[in-house]
Amino acid sequence: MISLLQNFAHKAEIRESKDEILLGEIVRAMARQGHVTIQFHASDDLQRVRFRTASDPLLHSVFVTLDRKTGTGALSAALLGSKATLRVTAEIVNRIADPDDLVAMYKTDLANLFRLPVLGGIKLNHELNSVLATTQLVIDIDDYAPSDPGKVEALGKLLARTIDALREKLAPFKKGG
Amino acid sequence: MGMPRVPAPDEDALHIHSHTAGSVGPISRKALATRLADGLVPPGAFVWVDGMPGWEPLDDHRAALVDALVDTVIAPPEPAQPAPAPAAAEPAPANGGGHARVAEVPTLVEAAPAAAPDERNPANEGPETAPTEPATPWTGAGGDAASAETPGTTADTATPAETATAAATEPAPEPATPAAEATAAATEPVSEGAPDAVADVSPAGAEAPNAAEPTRAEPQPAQSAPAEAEAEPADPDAVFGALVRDSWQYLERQRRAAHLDDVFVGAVITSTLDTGYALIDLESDGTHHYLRFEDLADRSRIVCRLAHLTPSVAVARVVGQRVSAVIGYGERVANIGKIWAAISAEMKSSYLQEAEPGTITVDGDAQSGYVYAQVDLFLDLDRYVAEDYAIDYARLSAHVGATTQALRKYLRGRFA
Repeated sequence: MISLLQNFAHKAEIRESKDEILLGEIVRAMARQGHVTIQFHASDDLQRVRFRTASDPLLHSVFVTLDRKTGTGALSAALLGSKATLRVTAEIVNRIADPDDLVAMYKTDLANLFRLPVLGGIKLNHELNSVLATTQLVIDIDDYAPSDPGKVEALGKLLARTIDALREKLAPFKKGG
Repeated sequence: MGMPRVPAPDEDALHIHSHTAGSVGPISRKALATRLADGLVPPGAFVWVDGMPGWEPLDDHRAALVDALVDTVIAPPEPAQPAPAPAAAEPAPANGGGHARVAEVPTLVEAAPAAAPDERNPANEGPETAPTEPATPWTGAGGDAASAETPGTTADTATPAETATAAATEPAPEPATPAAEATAAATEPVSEGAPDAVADVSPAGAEAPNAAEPTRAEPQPAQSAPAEAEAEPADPDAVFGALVRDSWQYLERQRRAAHLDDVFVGAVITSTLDTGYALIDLESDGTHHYLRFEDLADRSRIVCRLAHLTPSVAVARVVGQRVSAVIGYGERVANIGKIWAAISAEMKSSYLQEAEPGTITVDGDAQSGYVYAQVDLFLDLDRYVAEDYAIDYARLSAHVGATTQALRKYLRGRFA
């Protein structure tokens, strides 16, 4: 009886931990691309990790935010699956900014004011020295976790593809070296 | 305002001041005419004669002083005279040609204002704004030898008292602000032969006039010389770029020290996942981190509680980058007796006021059936994370693996 209860509790615990499992895989996938974690902020259903893209000549850092929407309960998991939003933000940093950048900053922000970074769209946020590009995807956690070779590869490709798209968007804003 | 009196042509009674050339005086009207003819008097110069309340534009009195001269004798230009001093009680005696001249200074700009400290007031601050260059408009380019302002050429026939008095009678230079004058004056060397009443008005303080004292030639010590040029690249843009780069490097060092624990957390996650575990719980507030891993196959768990102890660069340089780590290993125990024993051990562990390194404590979770053995450690992050953020995963895996193996042996031996 005790074992039965413990098994039930364990399954529930693992089900509720799927987003953390995916986050762990994301951390490992980024580490394999040479990006180390430099900031964590995690709570029950929201995890945000910042990576330092030292190996990337253009990008300064990448933020990955995983916000679980469904699937913590057995019923929702059965009906809706384990859906989460994966928000990826890439950042470039310019070492020197001048007043002309202020004008460019307001222009960029104005152009992106009503843009929503969903369904593959990319929203830019120009903050003088930093320019950030954000996109948001809705994913099914079960597609990428728990780990197996196929899911690991798929996750790696998803992250690389997303970051590449953001890098292309940010490239015009990078000044010098 | 009119001139109270027009000095005799040979009377050394005129003091001339210009922002660009400094002050000269007292000179005679003939000398002034000579200077004007030679173009040595810059436009916009001021004149003062004893009795006038302050400096007045020379152009306003040019007719009376120069144009009225019937026979303008182009006399050899007078040597530069010391700068005017604040007005004193007694005017300089008007002795005409035999008038004892004040000590002549090589150049006006080299003469500190003749302002005794106790007589100095803001209005009387020396007008010296000129740098210490030896050549000035007063002396003129290629001026004749008589006009050459050379140090030590004081035809000093005046007594110290007369010199001090003469200097003291010189009016305040109107146009300059006191602060600017004082600062400028502080930069000027006082040439030799300047009247002793020429006191320095540098911010460091003025010295009392001393007629017998030779004056300094070097700049005032209080006015620090321009910062010595560093051995910098010739290209200013390169210098600026280097400064910006150094600033960013400093900022990066600060940030690295602050977030090295987060780097370590990511490294722990990666290395633990590589051993077959999955991250099932993560809580972090930026400084304190809680991670829980589970091997989904055998359901064993690893727990890590990390707290960054050295987020400051200064502290990290002294003691190294340190993190307080509580590493635990847990297994499920289905036997109720073992669970009870684990809870009993947990109660005993709670008696520890402060866990010390190497002290193994027990933690039990009756709901999930897990029992954990955990140990406190202080880890040196520099052993795992290099300066360039390269992570030594092999060492980290070995250390975490050795710790969990020790805990596993204890757990199975205690609760087998």
